[in-house]
Amino acid sequence: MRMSPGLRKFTLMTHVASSVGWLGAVGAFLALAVAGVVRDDAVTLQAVNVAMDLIGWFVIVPLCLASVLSGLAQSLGTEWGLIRHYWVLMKALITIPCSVLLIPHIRPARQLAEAAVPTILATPELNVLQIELAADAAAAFMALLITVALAVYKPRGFTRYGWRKQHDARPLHAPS
Amino acid sequence: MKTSTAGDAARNTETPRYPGMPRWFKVLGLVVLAGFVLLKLFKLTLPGSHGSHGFATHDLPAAEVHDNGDEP
Repeated sequence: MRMSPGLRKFTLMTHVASSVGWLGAVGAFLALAVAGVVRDDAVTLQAVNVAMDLIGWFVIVPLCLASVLSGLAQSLGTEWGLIRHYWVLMKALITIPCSVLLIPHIRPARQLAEAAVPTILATPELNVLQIELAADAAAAFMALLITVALAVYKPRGFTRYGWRKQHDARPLHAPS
Repeated sequence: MKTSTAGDAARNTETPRYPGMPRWFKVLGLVVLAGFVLLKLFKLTLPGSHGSHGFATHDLPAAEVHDNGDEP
């Protein structure tokens, strides 16, 4: 199945915007999570927890879904394919598990926001949650940075399937 | 100096052999896996961590969660 040029441009624009936006939102989430670990005044902690909750559910999750869906459409609807090139395969292998792990990993942000009471915020249990959120955000940021780098550099390499397709059918056109 | 032969020319017309998985893919795959394992280990070593996600594994009474009476 091949997309029309207009639809292809639209999904490409959606994919680039959502992927880079996802990276940026995770960067903002990481800054808040680190602030939640290093700051101990109640006002800051309350603000950080509420902001992490909002960014997580209303920015990161929608951008993640948009990025994955537009990426799948972009790969399956063009000659790049999903498993023809190693760089596309690696992006999928990083992005799809990250997306699946996102919801359970972001749930503590909601719980922290609901528990944003100074007496509760001081408990070691919640400090551990803050550290876990910061570690998850740092790991997600690095993973997303790798996927952006892969998309920009497009390192060479056909999978065995892509290699067979390349030589069985007509040569692949260079996508933009 | 190597010169081309008729055999080389004949081989050039055949489908080239699959070059295999590129080194960058193997290295990057290992780096990503190592990062994931390190993250898991780090979280397991946190004091009080249950090594899993979700607040269900942490005991926080529901009554305390909704007690906003002492806001600054």
